[in-house]
Amino acid sequence: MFETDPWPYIYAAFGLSWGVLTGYALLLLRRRRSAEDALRELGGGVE
Amino acid sequence: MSSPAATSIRKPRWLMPFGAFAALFFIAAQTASLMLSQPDRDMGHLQKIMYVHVPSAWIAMIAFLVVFITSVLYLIRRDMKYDLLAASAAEVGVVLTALTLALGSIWGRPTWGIWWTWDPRLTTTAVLLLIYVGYLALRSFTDDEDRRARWAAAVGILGFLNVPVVYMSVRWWRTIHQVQSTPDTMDSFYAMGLRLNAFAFLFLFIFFVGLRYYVARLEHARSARVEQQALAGSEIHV
Repeated sequence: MFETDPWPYIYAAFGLSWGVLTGYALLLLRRRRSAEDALRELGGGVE
Repeated sequence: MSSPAATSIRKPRWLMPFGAFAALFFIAAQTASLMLSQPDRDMGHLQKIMYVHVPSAWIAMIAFLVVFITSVLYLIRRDMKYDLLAASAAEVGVVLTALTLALGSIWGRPTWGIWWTWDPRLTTTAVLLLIYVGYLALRSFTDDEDRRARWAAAVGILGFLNVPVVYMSVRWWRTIHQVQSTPDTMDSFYAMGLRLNAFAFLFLFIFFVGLRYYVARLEHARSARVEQQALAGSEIHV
């Protein structure tokens, strides 16, 4: 067993994963809204 | 020639409910693995990092397999939907590969005593990341969508050659990265945890690619609309 305290590394790993995945999801949702609005402004449709 | 772009896009109704399911499944799988897994004989509690590092690596490889398949399909059928799907999967694959490298580094510091080393597995994975970052960068080099799709498909196919190299690197060369574990070489609880989290990452991957593909179709339709209006001589405010 390692003598290094593992918990800071575990929290960092899970925090990074959750942060990156959540951030990417929010970014895509924002891009979706912008892209829908941009298409509607030009008279295109989103059914 | 590519098929003409539609200027009206159908919203995928399944996407948001599936995204909610994927998010809940991910939270449940991660929490269960984090709270319930027992310390490993050698790694202690650090083995918990495997529940994010390994699924992220597996699903990144699936992402690049999707890029490969859709790139081949594009070159055969010349249908722009395959190009947009390839680009969507490549972007998600890049996010997951970058995450895999970062998580491996966090695990490597307390385990190997170093954040990074030019080990064959780490190096081939870094090269994989650079190939697909290059793939995404290449797509902005030209406004001609057919040319862009052809170039991207070529890189998507050739770049995939590195995926089996990454996978086999721990067997082909001397490396400090451990070889692939199998259900026979690990505790059944760990194997179950890895499977559960692999599905959690897979569901998120499907949601991300679905959403990114929808955005790509919207942006493609917008470009087509702009082109149509320009040809019709309409005044456009962008």
